Amino acid sequence: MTSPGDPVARDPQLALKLWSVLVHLLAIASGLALGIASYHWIAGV
Amino acid sequence: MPVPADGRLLLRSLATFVGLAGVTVALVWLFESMRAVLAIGGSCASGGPYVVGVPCPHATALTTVAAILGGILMAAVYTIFGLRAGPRITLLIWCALFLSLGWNFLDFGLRAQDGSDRLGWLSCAVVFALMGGGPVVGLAFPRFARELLWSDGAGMPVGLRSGGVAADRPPADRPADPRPVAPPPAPPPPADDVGTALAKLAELHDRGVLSDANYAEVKRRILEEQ
Repeated sequence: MTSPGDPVARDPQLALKLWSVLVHLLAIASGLALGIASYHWIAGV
Repeated sequence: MPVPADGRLLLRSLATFVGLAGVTVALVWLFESMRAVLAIGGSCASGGPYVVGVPCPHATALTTVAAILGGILMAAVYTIFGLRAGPRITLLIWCALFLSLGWNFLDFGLRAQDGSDRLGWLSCAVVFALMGGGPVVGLAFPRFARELLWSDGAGMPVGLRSGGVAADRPPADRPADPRPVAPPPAPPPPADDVGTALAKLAELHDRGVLSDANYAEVKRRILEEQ
């Protein structure tokens, strides 16, 4: 049950959008860590 | 807060994560490879039949090629198969690419001992900053940011869909189309008058073209269709 002022009532896809933001942040953080570590491992520096 | 009941949510989340993480890895590899090459003067070579004056730093050739090809592939995975709602930051990949490489030009250009190197690298820094910084400046405008980097659930951001922003507006909000409107197609010609059809049929019957049975059958059809 949602009230008229509930953000979910105003935007039914709010949960999906927040989930997407979280996935984006995790992906960028993981990519940075993996990229730096793997480059230095491959380049041997 | 309910989790959307999307059967493909897991796959799309995976595509977003793998695609964007892959793009980020590619950008890091390009950034680091470029710094390694700039550190030895800005050019190098590996392999081939010619005498190599300045060999490339270890693994730089591999990481550069892999980053370019892999980055394009991962950007496609992110853009095509990723989550349909929320951030859609394909445009920012462009910005990150040119701004990060432009930073390298600026950094090494300011520290270059040779005057021609400095001028060339700083010129590249300006060009790359303009190419990558334009969309970032646009982020100061909420409408621009929302239309190009955010999706309400229909996949691509509004500004990147076919037809652009105008295609997404309700009809009442669209400006009037100045092009002349083609007239509606003319209505189909009216069917032959029943009397005319029956007269022709009778004529065929009288000339012996139609048998009695055929004449009766066709006549019945004409009358039924009216």
